[in-house]
Amino acid sequence: MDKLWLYAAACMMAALLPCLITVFRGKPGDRLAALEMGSVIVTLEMVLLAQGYHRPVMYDLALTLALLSFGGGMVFARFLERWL
Amino acid sequence: MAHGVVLGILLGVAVLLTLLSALGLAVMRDPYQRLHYSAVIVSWASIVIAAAVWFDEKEPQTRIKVILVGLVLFTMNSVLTSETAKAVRVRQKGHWEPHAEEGIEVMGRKEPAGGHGAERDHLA
Repeated sequence: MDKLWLYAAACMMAALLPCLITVFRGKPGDRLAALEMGSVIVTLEMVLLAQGYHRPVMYDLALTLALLSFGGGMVFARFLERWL
Repeated sequence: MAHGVVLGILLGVAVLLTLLSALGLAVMRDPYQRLHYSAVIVSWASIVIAAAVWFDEKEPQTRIKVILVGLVLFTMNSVLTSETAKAVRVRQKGHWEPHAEEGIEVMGRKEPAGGHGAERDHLA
């Protein structure tokens, strides 16, 4: 049963590839959108891995990542507005 | 057996939604279109994953934590998306508010005949 979680985590990792391509090739606005989606995917990835490996402490990591990616995204959005 | 099937379906749906959204992000043309696709992951995939954890896990602490992760993603992403769209628009146009020459109809606002004086009527 645990393997289901790990398979799902592995498959979901493939979703990072389009984000990575957009981050490398897009315009600044596209890059920011891709970065935000990437951080959401990585957060969900953490949840899947935490459940797959039975490490409840990794849920804290997912929660922290979700909160910090919000702060990071806001800072990037502010800088994108005027300075970047 | 049934437990595994339900879990497989939930995780499969979550992964499929995430993959399709990521593909949508890569295919779309401008940041406004791209921004919509993270909402699919946040509002559907994260809820399905939270449901899968809730279904699989008996520990109440873990259940609460995963719901918390989903809630944080859900609330923060909406703020972040609108803020990013605003930033992109300011970067492109130099302003956030719609101007008369852009042809954007704004509810509750009447444009004066001579340019954009932004005379605002509040909705009744």
